[in-house]
Amino acid sequence: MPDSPQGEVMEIISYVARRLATIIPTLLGASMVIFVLTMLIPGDPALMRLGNFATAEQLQSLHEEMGLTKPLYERYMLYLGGLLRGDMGRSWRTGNLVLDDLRARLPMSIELGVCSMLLAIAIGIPVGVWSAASKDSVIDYSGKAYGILGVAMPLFWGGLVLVYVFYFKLGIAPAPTGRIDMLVSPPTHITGSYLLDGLLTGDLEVVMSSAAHLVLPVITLAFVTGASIARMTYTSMRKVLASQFILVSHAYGVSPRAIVYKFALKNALMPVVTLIGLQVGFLIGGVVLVEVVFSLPGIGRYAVESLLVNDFAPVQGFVLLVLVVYLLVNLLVDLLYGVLNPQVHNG
Amino acid sequence: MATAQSSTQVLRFPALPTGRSEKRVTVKRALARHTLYRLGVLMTLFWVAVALLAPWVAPYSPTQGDAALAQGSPSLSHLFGLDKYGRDILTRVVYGSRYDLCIAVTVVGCSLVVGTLIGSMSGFLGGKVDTLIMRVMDMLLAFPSFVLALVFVAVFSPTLMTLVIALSIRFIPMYARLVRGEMFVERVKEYAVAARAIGSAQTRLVFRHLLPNSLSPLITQSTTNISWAVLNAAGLSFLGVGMQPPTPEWGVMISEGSPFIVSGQWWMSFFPGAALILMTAGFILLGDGLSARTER
Amino acid sequence: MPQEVTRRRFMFQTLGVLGGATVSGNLLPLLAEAAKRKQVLRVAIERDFETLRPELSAGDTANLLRRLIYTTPILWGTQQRPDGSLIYDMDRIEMGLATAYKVSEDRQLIEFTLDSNAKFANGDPINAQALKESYAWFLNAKGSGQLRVNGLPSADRIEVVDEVTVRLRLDRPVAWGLIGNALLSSSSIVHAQEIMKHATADDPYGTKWLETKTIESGPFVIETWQKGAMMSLVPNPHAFQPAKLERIILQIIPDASTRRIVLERGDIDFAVQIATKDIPDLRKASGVKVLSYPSARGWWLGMTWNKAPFNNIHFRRAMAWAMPYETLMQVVTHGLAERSRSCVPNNVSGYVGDLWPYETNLEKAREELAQAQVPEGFTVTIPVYAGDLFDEEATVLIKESLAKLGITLTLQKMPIGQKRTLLTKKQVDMAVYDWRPWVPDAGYFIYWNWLPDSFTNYWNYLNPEAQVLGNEAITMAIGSPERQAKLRRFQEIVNGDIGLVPLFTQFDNLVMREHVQGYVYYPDAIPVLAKLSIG
Repeated sequence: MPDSPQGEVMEIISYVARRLATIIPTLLGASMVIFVLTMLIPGDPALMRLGNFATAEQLQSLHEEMGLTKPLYERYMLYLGGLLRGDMGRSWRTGNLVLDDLRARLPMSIELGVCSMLLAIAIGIPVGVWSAASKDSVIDYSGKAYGILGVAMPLFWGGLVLVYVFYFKLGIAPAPTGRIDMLVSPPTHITGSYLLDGLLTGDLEVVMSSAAHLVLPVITLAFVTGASIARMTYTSMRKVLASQFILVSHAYGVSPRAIVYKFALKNALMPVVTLIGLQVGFLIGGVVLVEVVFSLPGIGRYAVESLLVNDFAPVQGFVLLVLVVYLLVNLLVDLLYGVLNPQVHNG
Repeated sequence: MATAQSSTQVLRFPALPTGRSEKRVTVKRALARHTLYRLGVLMTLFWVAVALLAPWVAPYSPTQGDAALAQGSPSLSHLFGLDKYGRDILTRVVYGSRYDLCIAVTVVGCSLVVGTLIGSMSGFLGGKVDTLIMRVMDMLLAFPSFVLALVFVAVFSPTLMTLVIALSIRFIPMYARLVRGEMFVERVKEYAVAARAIGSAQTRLVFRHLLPNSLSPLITQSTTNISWAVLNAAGLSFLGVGMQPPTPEWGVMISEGSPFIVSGQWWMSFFPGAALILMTAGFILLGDGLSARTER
Repeated sequence: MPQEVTRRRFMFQTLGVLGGATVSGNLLPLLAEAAKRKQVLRVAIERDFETLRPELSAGDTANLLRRLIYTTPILWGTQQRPDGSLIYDMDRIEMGLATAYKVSEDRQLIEFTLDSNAKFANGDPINAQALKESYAWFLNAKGSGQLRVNGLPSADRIEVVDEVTVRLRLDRPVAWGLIGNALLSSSSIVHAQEIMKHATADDPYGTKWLETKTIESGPFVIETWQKGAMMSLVPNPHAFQPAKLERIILQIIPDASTRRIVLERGDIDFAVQIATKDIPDLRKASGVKVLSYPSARGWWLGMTWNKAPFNNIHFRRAMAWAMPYETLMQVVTHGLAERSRSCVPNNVSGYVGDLWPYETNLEKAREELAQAQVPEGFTVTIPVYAGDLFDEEATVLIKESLAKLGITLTLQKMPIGQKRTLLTKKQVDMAVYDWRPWVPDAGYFIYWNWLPDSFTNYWNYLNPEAQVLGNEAITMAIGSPERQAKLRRFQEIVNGDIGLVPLFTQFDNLVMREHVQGYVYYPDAIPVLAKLSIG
């Protein structure tokens, strides 16, 4: 282990570079797996497009047009070639390039995912720490109860209940018709996130409207995610608080609060950070049902809706995209390991 | 010093000064912890019993409904109300415990075992082996679980078996990664270094010492995953490709009942949801109790 | 954004509506109220449009758009029902692009006189030549077997007589020749010249361009299209008939429950695909009106003729006796359907309802089953469209019924493409089946479903006598007594064979706010938004 700061930085950089390099083979492997899997799905996409009035010759011509008559390996090679050029193929369902579709929808998913994760962390970690630190009290039990409730609640059910209560019955929340109110024009596209773009262009109305439309879905997601974060924090904190190191500090007269927040937390956070890393990918790509209930045009919905009509190019692109997001997030997580616990040697 | 400390150190450690006498606090905590654990055991056993005794416990048929009573609200003769086909929801919840216990235990069990094996080896051995295994795990983990399950279920038809496999695959890397993370921490701890220094066989070290110390977050994750397994099944049902109707599985019931929330018939999705929460609670309390016991 | 709305919004804000109200969303429904009075129609649709290509007709939502952006030479006439709602008139044609038409005695020659002022959205005239090119494009793009079906197999049968007159010479006197070739949304008029400008070697008919861009011929043009989120349309400045609406907003709201509550609270004026279970509640809701129309969308239980015991007449009769007809209508359609008793749906010309003697009778079902030599513990797998509640619920109820006979049904929910593929490959033993004819005529239905090479003859039904009758009926005038007799005999044969077990014919229920006026129901049930107005 180099002692000089420059040496440490170099090590980190080379670690990052190595990790980034391994993304490529992972992506290749994943692209092959998802391609083969989706090709195995029974069902004829051309029939989907033609609907109830298809004639045999229409079907034939559409098969040719969609390239469905070529053998599997040839289609994979074409696909791979396209990927290397940055072309993920075209979705026949939207008529656009998959890349364009994903680019249009990704900012929204990130917006939703990041906001939800931030709120989840803001709820989960304090609840977990507080419960762990006040063992066997009312706070402890409440924290436990929240953990159980949040983990067992179906997302779409929670979303529907929130919509029913706060929009339908109370009229407080805005209509779940999408990212922004129907009569408000979307902001000029800079990042794609309505919140950010509204802020950057100074369009207060856009910021207010898109924030309002994010409230319920973010609460739904944060409630559930926060619960599993709380639980993990709780368990981890308990374990750390019981360890010898802590006891020794206590014996030496370090105040309990200092113990909890300065020493225990840092060590206890390792599995929590792992969990957060695992969850971020989910919050961006896996919250299809929340996107459905709140009519949000995210990448998860895009992929699932395509899959259900046998339009596979979007699914393939989606998987690769989520993979990249996930790998980057987890690179960050692994780097954080090093910060949190310098005892751990990376690799 | 070691023994005296290990039995009482946890109990005696005041996280925040409470001002009460230590002895009362000690006893109270001991009871409370024990009670919760016991509650968890009881709840889990309750569900197992319900699942086993379903045909005798349930008042009506889970699949034959009385159309005239469809969407009926809870009443004395139908405590949980009726669903859209006129089937008794209490009966279906009771029978549903079979499916969901099965899903929960199988999915989590399989993925736990396989994932732990992979993760502990990877974390312990480190180096190139670790890198390779973790890349494969990453790939699996990053696969959006929904899409993976959907694809799986579409390729092989949606039976209980396929569903279980699809969901298990999703969880394996979670455990692998957790265990690996714990391995990193544990293997540099004093006792591990010491053990290696005196020449302990590696496998023995991993399984007898390192692993049990890593169990805590694993157990926590498992109990969380139990409900996720069922919820994923519910989500798949919402999209139409989960367990097939008229199977009285809680996830199916929740998704079938969700459209009725907005028309005011809350009971259709509430009771299976509550059952799921109670089952999850049982497993979690059980798991937390077990987890506490493995803390040294 | 129109100036007045921006100013009005500013006005509201400066009147001191709290930022809190803005965030809470209370302000925006107020604005919506204002917008409502300004003839803006907000529609909730369940999914996005895949393409602007008119020859790919995947679903009612896609057709909703076709009717907005493309026009057809003629439209259905309108009549009023006793309750005041409007419905199509089978006997009257309303002029659209065409100001007059003529059909020859032998029904093989159709002549249109077009409106001399008709123009595309970019100002190019829709004259006889443009009409011919549009039809020709359809036929040559090989995308539309529709026109071929209706007796127009090739472009050389379209004759440009003069600037505004077009003649179509059909290859046979198809009963629905006029309607099929000039009224259905399959005869949408496209700007063929413009499309062909975008043709390339790989794409000889410019279809790639047409996926997302077009030159509209219909009453509305696309203003903005945010894929996956919404589409807004404004009136076509060159439409031959001025629209009453100033703007139509098609908002994608994928969840049916969400669509319902958004309509109930008034944030949406018109919603498609509302769950049938919500219809009775919505009827009672204030500010909402529900228009229910008997339709021709029939639902049947289909069984293959390719293997035993399904091709055994006793088995089929047993199924006919075993169906829980009343329960199906009660639970699945909540009473919003009518009992169907033939191999063609109700409400079509030629439907006969007295040739089906079967009612729910499990005893008789057992008797027939005994004669069918069905093995003990017989199991059938039925594919079900995931996401189609009628299909799923009907199958579950049928499963319950058959369980009482000792037959086990296994449901298999699958994405729509999968079931359709299985059906097309004729690999389905038994399934719930539905089909809606766009022309309310039994002959049309027979053409698509009952002939040996009908694309949707998934069950492989073959009966020479019926085939002859069917073919004859196709080319006879709708409503003529001899045709009615042939259709009657056809149904007698097929019902006797139990070609399909009719379950019910559903109602179409349209849900909208009370202030939405002018809805006319067409037999293809595609909501014609262009005729609507607010107030």
